[in-house]
Amino acid sequence: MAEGEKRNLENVADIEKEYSEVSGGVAGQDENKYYHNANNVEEKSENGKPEINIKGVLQNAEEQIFSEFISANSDIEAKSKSELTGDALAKYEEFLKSERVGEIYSETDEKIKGINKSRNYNLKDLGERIDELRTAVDQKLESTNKDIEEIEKSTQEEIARLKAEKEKEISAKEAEINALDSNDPEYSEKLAQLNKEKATLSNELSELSKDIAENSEYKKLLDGNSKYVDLLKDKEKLQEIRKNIGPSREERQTLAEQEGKKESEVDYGLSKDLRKSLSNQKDLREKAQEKAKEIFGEDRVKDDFGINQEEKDKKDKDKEGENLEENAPEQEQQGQTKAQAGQIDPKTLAAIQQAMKNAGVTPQQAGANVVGEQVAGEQVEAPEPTGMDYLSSLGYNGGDVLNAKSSIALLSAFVSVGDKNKIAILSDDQAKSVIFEAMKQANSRKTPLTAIKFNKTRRELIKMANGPMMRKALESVGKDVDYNNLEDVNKQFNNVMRDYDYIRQQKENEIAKLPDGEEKDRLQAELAEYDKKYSAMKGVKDFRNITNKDLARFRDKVVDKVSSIFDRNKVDRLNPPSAKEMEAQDSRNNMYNRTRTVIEQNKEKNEFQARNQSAVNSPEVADESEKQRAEAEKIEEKQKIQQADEIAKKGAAQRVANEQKEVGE
Amino acid sequence: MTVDEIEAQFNALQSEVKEIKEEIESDAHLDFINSLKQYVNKY
Repeated sequence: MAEGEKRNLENVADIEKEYSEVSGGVAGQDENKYYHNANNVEEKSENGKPEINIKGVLQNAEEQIFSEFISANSDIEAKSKSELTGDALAKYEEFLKSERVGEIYSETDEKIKGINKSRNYNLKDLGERIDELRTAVDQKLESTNKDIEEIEKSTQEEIARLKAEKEKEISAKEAEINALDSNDPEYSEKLAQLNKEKATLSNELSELSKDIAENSEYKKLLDGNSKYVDLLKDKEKLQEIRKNIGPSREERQTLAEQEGKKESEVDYGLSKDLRKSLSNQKDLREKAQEKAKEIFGEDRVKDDFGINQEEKDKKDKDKEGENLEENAPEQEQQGQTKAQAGQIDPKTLAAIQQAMKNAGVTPQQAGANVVGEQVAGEQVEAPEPTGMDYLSSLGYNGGDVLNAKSSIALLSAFVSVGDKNKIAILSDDQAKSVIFEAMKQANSRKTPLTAIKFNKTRRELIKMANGPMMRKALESVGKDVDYNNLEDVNKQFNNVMRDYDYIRQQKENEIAKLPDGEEKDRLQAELAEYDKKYSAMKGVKDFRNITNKDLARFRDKVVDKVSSIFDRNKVDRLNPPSAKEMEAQDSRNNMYNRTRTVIEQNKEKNEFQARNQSAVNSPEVADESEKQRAEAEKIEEKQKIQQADEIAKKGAAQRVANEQKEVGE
Repeated sequence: MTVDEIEAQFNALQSEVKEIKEEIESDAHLDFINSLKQYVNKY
């Protein structure tokens, strides 16, 4: 079906087709479903499914690159990229810049674009079909209710008719009674009989005259009406289906307003599943790009990797105004400006250095150059890394953007300092604002700060942080899980929480039944102990259900905490360092820079020699080396002579002094 | 349309939504962000 064309659901043949094409997941029979191949040409695949998913495409690309690299470098022995080190790694990184990798990049890009296009089409199609089905169900419910009402109305009319008939019968019976001859020897018997019959008729009339709700005759008629019974069953089924489909957009808005909640909080059923899938699909764009950067190198991956033009337009539109419920952007962050390169002042750098130290980040972890080396015969101890060293090691190169990795690392360092049991889970903009605020506090002159590009979603941060939190909580209730497998951890967590909720409810029900007294107190104490045992688990569950409003409050607390990190004497956060402290800092920096320079020079020299070993062994170079060696020997000889002269002079002076002494004596 | 037909359509949609949800979730696996986790765990 072409986009925009309405699906015909009235025609039984179309409906049967719709049903058969999707039942059992055999989607290939649907001529309207397209799966796009690598060249973005619409075509049907054999079974209607793409062969591999985005993860698979990227994995294949990564393996292909590695395999081609190894083929071209037979001297390198490694089974995977992670085994490459030193020169081999450097060569690999060079290879990533090659044209061949560029080709693989383009192919991968096209395949992922194809998968995304297909998925987006299907998601959109499913959305439309769900809306259409919801409408069809509503219409069917309406017509069913009407039919039910009509039968009920006609049954009531039937009851009225029966009632009128009954009244007639009673009147006729009364007439019969009145007509009896009192002289008839069977008068009494006949009278009794007629009265009995009249009483029966009166009872029946009385039953027929009851309200519909209590009228057994009415109920009997309805229960005996097979069409009515079927309609009730239909109604029940339709209501169930309607519930499972979930609310429409308008219904969500209304419900949310009525209950004072967000739309996502009142969503349920199939529509919720679809919205989740839409949201996940949206997140995948960025995830795939991040993964691609690891595989192809950061420089190669463009903003539109894996994203088709219409998606890109939509994405730009989303950025402008749409408020995705899970990631409420902070409006006040939009005014931040980018800094000029290198404009991070010493105090901020010192603050970062302190934060890293407090976080227990060793210089080695930060990748700083910490090994003391021999320089001109002296052992030079490398000073501790500066704030700039830490930033550099995290990928900050003086440019105007901290990338996602360095932002997260910084953030982790900041928030792990205060309370190791709490992890701040923030939206992208909230995380930005935390770092921004913290750095601002460290910089009393409010120098323009670096803009931080932080493109992980709140959901991913929650997932990452929930890993360690969940593990701790599960440990606290003695659960044994595979902690390397977060899916297993999640599954165990959900199982335990489900059991806990169920058992808790049972205990509460038991307590509610009891009158006040010893037994009730005992059970309540037991329940309190039970809750205490599962408090860590419950804490994690509450944390996962945290609303953005709560997060904003928590974020403010985190900002305060992080700001206090930059207060070096923990008294007044706005105190600038003293002149002496700054001098000491500069002196360390200078020493470090001088050491670095010499170390770098030696390193370059060694590398040059290693690369040009054959040249070193050539006759011309050999001559040159010989010259230098000869000169060095001369200098050494000269030094020895000088030293000997000095010793001789000292010795002579001593002899003279001794002689004079002897003379004196 | 009969109720049975509606029910059949719903079941079909349900299985299709489930299918695409699983497909997308298979790509949303944590493998994607493992390297990022390493940076976080490092500190």
